[in-house]
This record gives sequence, structure tokens and C-alpha cells, in this order.
Amino acid sequence: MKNSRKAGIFDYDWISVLLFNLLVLIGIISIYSAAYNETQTQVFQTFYGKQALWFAFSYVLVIFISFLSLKSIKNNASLLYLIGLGLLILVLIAGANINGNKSWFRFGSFSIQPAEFVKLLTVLGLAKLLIEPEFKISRIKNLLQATVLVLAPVFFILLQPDLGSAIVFLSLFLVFYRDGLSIIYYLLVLLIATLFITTIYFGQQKILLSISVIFILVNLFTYFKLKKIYWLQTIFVLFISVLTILGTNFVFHKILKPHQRNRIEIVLGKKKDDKGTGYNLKQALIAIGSGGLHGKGLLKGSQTQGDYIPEQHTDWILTVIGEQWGFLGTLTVVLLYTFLLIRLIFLAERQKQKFSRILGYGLVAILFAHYALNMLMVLGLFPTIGIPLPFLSYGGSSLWAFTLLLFIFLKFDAHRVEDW
Amino acid sequence: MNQKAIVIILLILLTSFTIIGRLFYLQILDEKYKDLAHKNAVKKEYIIPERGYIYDRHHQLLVSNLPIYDVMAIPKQIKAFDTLAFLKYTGISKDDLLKALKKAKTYSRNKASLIVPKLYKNEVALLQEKIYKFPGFFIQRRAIRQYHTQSAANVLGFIREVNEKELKKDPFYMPGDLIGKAGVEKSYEKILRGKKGIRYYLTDKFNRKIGSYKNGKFDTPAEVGKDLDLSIDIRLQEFGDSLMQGKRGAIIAIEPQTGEILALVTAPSFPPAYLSGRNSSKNFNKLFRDKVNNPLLDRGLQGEYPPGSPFKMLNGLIGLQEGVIQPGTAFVCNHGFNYGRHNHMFCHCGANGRSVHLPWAIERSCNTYFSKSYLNIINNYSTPAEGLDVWHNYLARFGLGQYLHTDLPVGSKGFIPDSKFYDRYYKKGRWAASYTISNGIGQGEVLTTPIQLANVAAAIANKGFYVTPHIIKNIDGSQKTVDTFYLKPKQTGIDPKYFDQIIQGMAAVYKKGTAKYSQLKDIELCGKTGTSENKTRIDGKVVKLPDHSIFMAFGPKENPKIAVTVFVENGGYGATVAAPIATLIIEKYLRGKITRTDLLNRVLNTDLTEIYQKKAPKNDEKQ
Repeated sequence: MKNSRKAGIFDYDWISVLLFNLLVLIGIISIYSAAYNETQTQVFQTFYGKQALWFAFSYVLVIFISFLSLKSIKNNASLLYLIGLGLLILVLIAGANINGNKSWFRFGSFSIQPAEFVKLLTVLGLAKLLIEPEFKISRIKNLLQATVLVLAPVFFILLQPDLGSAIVFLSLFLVFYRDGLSIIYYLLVLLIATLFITTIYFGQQKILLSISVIFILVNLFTYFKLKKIYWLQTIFVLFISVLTILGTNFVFHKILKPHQRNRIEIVLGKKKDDKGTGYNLKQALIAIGSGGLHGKGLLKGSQTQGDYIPEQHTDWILTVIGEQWGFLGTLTVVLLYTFLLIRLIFLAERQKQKFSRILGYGLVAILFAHYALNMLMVLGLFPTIGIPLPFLSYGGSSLWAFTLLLFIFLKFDAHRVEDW
Repeated sequence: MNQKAIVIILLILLTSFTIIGRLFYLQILDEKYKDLAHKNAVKKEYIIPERGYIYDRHHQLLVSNLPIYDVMAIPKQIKAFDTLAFLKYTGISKDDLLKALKKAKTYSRNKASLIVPKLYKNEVALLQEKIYKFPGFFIQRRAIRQYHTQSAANVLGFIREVNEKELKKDPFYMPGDLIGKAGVEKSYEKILRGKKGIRYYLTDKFNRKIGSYKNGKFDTPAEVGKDLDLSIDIRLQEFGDSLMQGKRGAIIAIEPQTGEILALVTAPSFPPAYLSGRNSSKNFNKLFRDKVNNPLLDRGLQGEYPPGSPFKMLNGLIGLQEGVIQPGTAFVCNHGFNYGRHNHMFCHCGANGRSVHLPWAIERSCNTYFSKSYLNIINNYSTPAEGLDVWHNYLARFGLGQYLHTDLPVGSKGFIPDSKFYDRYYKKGRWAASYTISNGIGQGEVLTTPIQLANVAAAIANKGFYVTPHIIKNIDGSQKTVDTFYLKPKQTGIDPKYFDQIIQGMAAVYKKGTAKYSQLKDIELCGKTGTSENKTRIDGKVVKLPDHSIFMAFGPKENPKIAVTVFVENGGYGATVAAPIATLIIEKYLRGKITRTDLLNRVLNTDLTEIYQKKAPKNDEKQ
């Protein structure tokens, strides 16, 4: 025993807890104004009433976590991961069909979305895998193992189908980076993504031509400056580039569904569809843009009160904040997230145990993916996909899953100096 | 700290800065979103105020408003509904419903269109209860005019939906608004319509109202239209209507001192309610196409006829004022007189070679006296052109030959020739006074409208001045806002002393002249009969029809209270129909009852329909 005193619930990082509470409270107020209805008298029938209830219950979860043994979590991480996969399979069989998606278990009037919790379970499973002795992420075999571990839930979630949740899982590759995977992989993915988008935007021929020019120039530059030609690397990158460019049209027109194509084209400004697929985005931009510097005030937003944006209490909650509290409101929220993420990285880095550090980075990766993709989507910089804003958007499953993820990590952090 | 951790932090910061930059652009730099949000949600609604009521001179209600209900629909919000039930509740046919819905869809999917117009309260009651079963439909209340008289359609006018031209001319109006199209509804439109209110409200994405905009800070309330008291006496007007049954023509009664029109009867007419309510368009077309009876023509204001004998008094007055005749002047009349080389003016006054004085000339309607007076007026000047223009100007001051500018929207100028007219006709300087001698007896080129003659009667009754005839008495209970044009007397330029002999002559018409049989006991009246010839073409042949019957009168002789002109198409000699009608109107107005029931019965039993039918253009003679 290094310490005589065991850490308790009050040793959790108070900055993170404060940021968590602030975000949830801002969320509840926003949900209140998004779904404001004078005639609704029963508070717990309203969205904000329910969200407040979920918030209260999330503290029950926090207390529950405080009784969990960290050791047992760590030891049973693989099992928990498998249970997660089991849940994803079960929801495909026994889930309720809502708008053609089988993402929810329904118990009477109460529904729960397993994918939200599987994020936590996958992070645990990944942490468990990465701390295996002899495991090196830079080794191809181990990389493949870890990749399969991450992609397995993605596979089942795509079957629901729920593209938004699936994309969020991919953020776990960020954990690989921290654990030693070369940045080359990420740069390659970035290259492919860039080529994919530019090809859609400018067309195959222009991009092929520009790529060729760039390669010739880069090689000429390296030849004259460094007196060396990187043949192998050049050919490899060129191969991937050309494959991407040629594959883009196929993926874009044959694999993506029409509405997904539309959404990409709308973000790229190639298409205007303010009445159809682009309606939400257009109205969202109007709501946020009309907020100005300090917004129109609580319940004074014409876009919000006029219900112009469907799902403004869930995925599009930023529009409510933007309209009612303006740039100051949105800036506050962005800064809260940024502080929380940086704080969590700081916490993750101070872990003595690799397991809890990976847990921390898993949390950061998923939180970051949600925050970034949701905001970029609402601001028209990313195609529309269904990703809620963590802690802010309405939804019990999402709130509880993030609460569990956050507080389990915070508990690990509180006990970081103990020998558990 | 771990280098890779720093890279991840930088990635997070880069993302956050991108988001902040985008937010800054949207919320601070780009101003267009405020307008877009405003356009999205803030809608403007006009509140149509209630139209002012119209009363008669004794504040008896003539026109009020009746609520009527339109069934409207917003196509986008319509869901499948029970068509049969809808048809049952509204009483329209399936075809009409489908047509209306199609039209609504082509107009706008988000804006309301009219589906079933003008249902009365009892007709809409059932639908109102069940309207929730028909999403997208709603009932809109508006008002139509409700009439409390069967008479005075020409005075009251009617309201209709504004047309394109009116919309362009006056930004006050929106499509579907109502506007006065005739009568006082038209001439006092701006007073009756009130002021529209504006209400701003917020709408949701389905265009449903969700509340007021900024708590109504920018709203303006509607102002109810002002009420009008007309100068007409509705009982006199209705009585006039009854007298004109079976006849065509006009009765105009004016209060001489004030110029207030007491009755403005035109016949044939129609009840004012005929152009209000559900069938108003159909009815209007029916009236419009009736070229035989021409019920939309206000014969009192628009009909132009040779005035005949009543015009003679004007020549007498001008002669006196010009000094070409004196109160004692007498002319010899021997069945008329010769003038020029080969011309003869006939006269039926019966003087048979004796001298004729002015009152007697009026009593017997002596052509000689007034023709000579007329010639003297013209020849008093060095050229006939100069003389004629002096004469023309006198008449202009009586309101003849020009618009009288009453406060009703229709009227005619009539015609009084001037020197330019004859210069054109005969060439300049190639004519003499004798060429125009018919003007002396109200025939020839002279044309007047019945209201102009009534105004002349009022001017004679007033001994030299008149107030432009008008239909308005009070606006909102007072004369403060009434145009002073209708309050100020206008001088005719004839000295009051010259009227005595004229009035004496007119009184003699009642006492022993042509209107002897129409005189009233205890009330001394003044009058003048007139007859104007008219012909028509039947089957290509010119046929002479019975003369138009004209009578001009006022009474009592001392301190006159009413001046009347009656004009009956093809009524024959002035004394037969027009004089009794004028007398009855005067008696009704002065006494409130009729003692000359014999006259009343004779008038009521006079039916000229047969004569009018002869005149009617045959159907195969369409132009």
C-alpha cells in the first residue's frame, strides 16, 4: 500500500465533473426551450422534464460506479466487450423497428439504445487488448487484431443501420496513435478522404491531372534538394491515390444511398435542396445565424419556437443555443467541450496504468468524435448524419452511456495512485 | 507531456477553432440569416375594420353589416377527408369542390385559398362544429352589407371585391378586399372603409400561428369605418319609388337652403340587397345586360334631355339681369312671331295678338316672350358670339352645361352651347342669334340632367343662390368633416329682385295654369311644366313617341322647403304625370301625409310599360 487512504467519490477530478454538470444543465435548458409547449402541464411528460429525470438518474449510476471494483472491471473487460457485441446482435433480432432502424430495445414506453453503451464496452475491450503482454500496435498482426475489435461493433451497427454511431467508433483509431501507431496511416487516410472529396467536387480528370503534376513536382524537388528519388514510396502513394480517385465514382454512386449522396453534395455546395434533404441544414443555419452576438433570449427564438428544425432537441440542439444565446452561447459551449477534452487528455496522461490511460483516450476519442462531427454537421461543414451532442442532446441512453464512460474513467483517475 | 498527446490536443484545438470560425462567420459576419429568420417566421396580418353604417337624414338605419363565412383551405395541410360529409355540410357540389381545390393548389400550397364563399351563419353552423375533421380547412368570417330598405340602390351603391386596377392604384387594398363600386359606397369609400389594423405574428414551419411578434409592439389597431348620415329622407325616397312604378324617369328633391338631396329616385330600379350576398355577381350581370330597362343608369344624375319649358325662366332671369327686358316689359304674341326672313316661332300661349307680361308668359309658357328675350340678350352685344358667351356664362353659374360635382360618383354635363360650338357648326362669324332661337325655349342644342333642373328650381326658390346638391348630411354625427364645397352657397349672379316675377309666374302655374289640377290646399306651390319631344326608330321608320313629361316645382312659395324636378319618359304632357308626382312628393315631405288621394291614385294607376315595350330594341337588332 502506497497510500493509507483509499480514494472516494470526492476525489474525482472536480473540473471534469463541473464541466459535465454545466453541459448537462445547458442541455436541459435548451431542450426546455426547444420543446416548449404552454399546454403541456405534466413536467415529466415533457422532453426537458424527462432529461432532468435522466440527469438525476445518471447520479445513481455515478454512485453505482463508486461501488464497482476497478479490478473486476479490468479483469472482466473482455467479457464486457463480448456482452456488448451480444447486445448488438440481440437488437437486430429483438429490437423495435423505428423508422426502419433496428437500434432500440423497447420496454413499454421506455427505450434504450445499446450502441451507446457498446461504445463504453468496446473501449474497455480495447484497453484490455492493448495491455496484453507482448502486444504492440505497430505490429501488423496486433494492429489487425485491434482493428477487428473496433470494427466488429461497427459491422453490427451498420446492419441496424445507424451510420452516425458507426462512424463514431472509428474515432477509436485515435487511441492506436497514442499507443504507438505511426502517423503515416492517418496521413494516408487523410489523403484518401481528401482525394475522395476533391474528386467528387472537381471530377476525376482534373484530380488525376493535378495529382500527376504534384507527384512530378515533389519528385523533382526531392531529387534536386536531396539528390534522391523515393521510388517505392512514390509508387505506393500514387497507387493508393489513383485507386481512390478511380474508386470514388463507384463508391459515391453505387455504394452510397441517394440521400447520403445528396448530403455530401449539399455540404460541398454542389447542390441546393432547401426544401428536401437540405431543409434541416438551411433552417439550422438560419437559426444559428440569426442569433447574432448575444442571441434572441430564452424562448424568443422564432426558429426554435416555430419548430422549423426537426429534432432540434436532440441532434440539432446547437441551433437552439445559437439562436437563443447567439455567438456568446455557442462559443461557451465549444470552449466547455474543448476544456473538457484537454482536461481529460491531461488526466489520461497522468495515469500510471496503461489500462486507465487507454480508457481515458477512448473516452476522449468518442467524446471528440461526437462533439466535432455533430457541430460540423449542424454548421454545414460535414454531411448530415445522426450524431447527438454529448451531455447536451436529449436522450437517456446517450447521457447515461457518456456518464458511465466519464465517471468510470474518473474513478480510475481518482484511484490512479493506488495499487488496485 | 507525451508528444503524441500534444498532437491530439492540437487536433482538438484545430477542430474547435474551425467551429468557432464558422460560428463567428454565421453569427457575426453574415447578416442575411436575421432577415431569413424574420421572413420565415414573422407574418403580417391585416385586420379589416367594420365598414361604417349608413343612415338617412332622420338617422334611420339604411345599411349595416352582416357576418358571412368563407370556407378556406391551405392545400399543404389538407389530409384525406370525408368528402361526402364536407359536401353535405357546405351544400356545394363535388365538381365545385374539386375545381376550388385545384385552383387553390395552383395558387399556393402554403397560402389559404377560398373554397366555399359566402355562407350564412345558419349554413356554416354544422361545418363549424366539425371543422376539426377537415385538417387544412378553416372558416373565415367577414362581413357583407345588410340593407334595411328596398329603395335607394342608386344612392347607396354596392361593394365588391377590388379589381387589379384598384389594387394598383391604392396600396391600401389587398386582393379580396371589398371596395365601394357605386353610390355613396364609392364616393365615401375612404370614410366608410376605416383604417386597417396590422398584426404581426410568429408562425411555425407549418405556417401556423404560434404567438404575437414582440408582444405586439409593432401592431397597429384597426379603426372602424365612420358612419354616414345621408341627406335623403328614406320615407320620401320609398314613396317616390312607389310613384314611379310602371314608369321610367327620375324624381329629385332638394332642400333649397342647404342643397341637401331629399330624394333621388330613378326608375326602374332594384332593391340594394340585390347586389349583396351570394348571387351578387350573377345579379349584377343581369342588371348590366338589361339594355332595355337599363336599371343601372341613374336617370336623375346621368340622363340628358332637352329641358323644354322650365328653361324659359332662365332666359327671363338673364334678360332681366342684362336689362334687355324690364319687369314691365311686354311682347306681342300672335300665335308666335316671325323672325329672320322666312322663319316663324310658333306659340300656343293663347295671347292671340295681345301683349304678354313676364308672369303671364311663364304661366302660359309663351314661346314668343322668351325667344324674344333670348334674342335680345344675344343681340345686346356687338357680335352674336359675344352675346352668346355672356348667356352661356350665366347658365354656367346655374351649374348647367358642366358637371354639377355632386358627391355621387356619376353624373353628366348636359350641354349649353357657346360661340365656339356655333363657330364650328356654321363657321366663324357666319351665324346670327336667330339661328339659335330654340335655345330660348329649352329645345335645340340645350341638354340638361334632371338634377341640374332640380338645382335650378332650388336656385329660383332661393332667389339667386344654390348650394351644390349633395347626399351627405353628417360624417360620424357631425358636419365638421363634410367638404365645405357642399356647405357654401354659390351665387348665380342674378339679382334677387328679378326672381319675384318669375316666382309669381310659377305660382300662377299652380293656381290657374297647367298644374291647376295638382294644387294643394293651404300650401302655395310654384311650378313649371315641360314637355320634350322624342322619336325612335321602329322597323326602320321614325316614329314619334309620347313626349317626355317634365315638371319643376318648389314650395311653399314663401320660405321654400323643398324643390323638386320630376322627369317621366314618355309621360306625355308635363301636367299629366310629372306635375302630380312632384306635388305628391312636396306634400309628402311638407305634411308627412297625402291629402290628394285622387292624384295619388291617378299616378299609381299610370303604367307606361306598354309604350316602353314598343321602344324596346328587338332581339334580332343586336348591335
